[in-house]
Amino acid sequence: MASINYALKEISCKIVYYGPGMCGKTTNLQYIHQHTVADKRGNMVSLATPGERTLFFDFLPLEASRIHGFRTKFQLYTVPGQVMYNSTRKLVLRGVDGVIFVCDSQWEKMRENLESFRNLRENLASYGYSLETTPYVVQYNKRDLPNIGPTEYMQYVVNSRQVPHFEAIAIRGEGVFETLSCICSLVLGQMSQKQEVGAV
Amino acid sequence: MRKEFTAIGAFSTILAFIAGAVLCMQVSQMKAQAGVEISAPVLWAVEAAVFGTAVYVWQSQVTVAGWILGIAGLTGVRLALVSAAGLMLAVMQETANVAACLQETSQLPPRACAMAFALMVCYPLRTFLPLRAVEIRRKGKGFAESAAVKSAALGVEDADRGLLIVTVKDRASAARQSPRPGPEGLVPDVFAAPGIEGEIELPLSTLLALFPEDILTDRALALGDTESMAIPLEVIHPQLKEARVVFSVTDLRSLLPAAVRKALVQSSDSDLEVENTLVSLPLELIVPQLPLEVLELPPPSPPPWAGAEMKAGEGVVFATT
Repeated sequence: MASINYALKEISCKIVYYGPGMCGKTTNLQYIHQHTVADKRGNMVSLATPGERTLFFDFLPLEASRIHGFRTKFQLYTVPGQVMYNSTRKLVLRGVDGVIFVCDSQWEKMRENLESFRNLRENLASYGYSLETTPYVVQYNKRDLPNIGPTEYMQYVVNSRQVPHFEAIAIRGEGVFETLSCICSLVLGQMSQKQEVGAV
Repeated sequence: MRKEFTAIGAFSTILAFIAGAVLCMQVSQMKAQAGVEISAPVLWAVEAAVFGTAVYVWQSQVTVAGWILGIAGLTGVRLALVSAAGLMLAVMQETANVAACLQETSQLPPRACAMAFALMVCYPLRTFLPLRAVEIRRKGKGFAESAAVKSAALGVEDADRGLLIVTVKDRASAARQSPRPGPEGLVPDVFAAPGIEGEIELPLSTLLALFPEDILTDRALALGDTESMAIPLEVIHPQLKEARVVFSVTDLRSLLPAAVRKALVQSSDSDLEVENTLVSLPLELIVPQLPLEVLELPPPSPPPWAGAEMKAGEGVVFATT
C-alpha cells in the first residue's frame, strides 16, 4: 500500500490502469509520459509485443506537486488486457493504492469491459482488497470513434456505484490528466483520512 | 453432434440393399433342415422389437413419431429385400410363378437375413429421424485463468514495490487453454423479467443475418427485407446489465413474425445444435431505443473512500509541458 517516508518527507503511491485489451491503457501512460516535465518523471518501461500489445506491464514513475510539504510520487502501471495474462494482472495489482478502470467505448467491446471489471474485482479479492476499500475511477476512452455506446449505458454496465468517471480520447490526451488527478486525489485523500483515524 | 447423410452413406445403403437381396435369395435356396416353427405374429413382434431397439440405439433423442417412422422404414426395407430376392429368384429360375418365389424368400432364414440387411441399409439414413428439441444448457466458462505466465515478486518493501521477475512459460498453449468466453458461453435466462412494458423494434434483415445459415431460406430472407421484428422489453431488460443480449435460435423463432417463422427451416427438421446456437443481438440497435427509465441507476451508494477526495486547492497537480 501507499508509503509515507517522514524522514524524506515523501509519499509514494501505486496507481494501476486496468481494463480490457486494446482499450487505451498504454496510450494513457504514453500521453502522460510525453506531456510531463522530464525531471518530474522517470523513464517509462514498456514490455510490449511488436503489435503494441502490452506483454507484461508498463511502468512510469511520476512526481506531482508537493502537498503539505511532502513530495508525492506515483508509480503508474498498466496491466496486459488480454484474457490469458491474468497472472500478470494479479501480480501488478499487488500493493495497489488506486485503480483507473479504462473502458473501450465501442459497442463491440461492451462485454469485454464488463468481464474485465469483474476480473478486477476477483483479482483484488485474491489479495484481500476490494473496490470498497480501494479508490477507483472509470475512464470511458475512445469517445472520438463513430461506433460508441452512450456513457449512460456504460455507467449502467460498469459503474452502477457511480464513482467519478471521465470521458476520454487518450490518443489526443483528452481526459487523461483529469482522470489521473482525480484518482491521485482520492488516494491521497484516503491516506490522509487513514492518518487522521490513526492519530485519533 | 448430429451426423450428415453423405455420399458414402448413400453408396453403402445401395450396396447393402443389393448384397442383402442376393444373400436372401441364396439363403432361400439352402435346403432347410427341420427346424422350429415360429408363428407369423411372433415373427412380426420380434421384428418390431429388433427394429425398435435399433432405432432407439441409433438416436436416443428420437421423437415418438420418428421412432415409429424408423420401425416402419426398417420393416419396409426388409419387405423390399425379400421381394427383390423373390423377383431375382423368379428371373433366375425362369419361372412365371413369382408368388411361389416370394413365398420361398419370405421363410424364416431369408427373412432373418433380410432383417439384418435392412439394419445395414437404414443405418446411414438414421440422420433423417426427427429428434426431440432438448434444451442444452452449457456450462458457463469463467473468466479464463492464465497458465502462461509464472511470475514472482521480489522486494516487497515499499521502495521496491513493482519490481517483478517474470518468466514466460508457454504463451501459445495458454492461449489455447484460455478461450475467450463468446456468446455461446452462457445460455441466458430469457423471459424472466415481467413488469417492464414496451418493445424494441429491430430490422429483420439484420437479425436474419445473425441466424445460422442452415435454417435460412430464400423466402425468409426476402421477407426480412420488408418486415421488422418486435422484441418485448421484458425479455431484453434482464440481459442489458450483462452488456449483451443473447437468445437461442429456438427462443428467437418464437419472437419472429409468423410468416417469417414459417418460412424458416422448421425446428423439427433442424439440427439440435443449430437450434441451441446463441445469437447475440446488436446492442447498438437496442440501446438507443430504450426508454430512459430502463437505464436508470439506483441512488448513488459511494464507497467509503469516495468522500475522501482532497479539498479544493489541495489537489494533485502534475507539471505538464
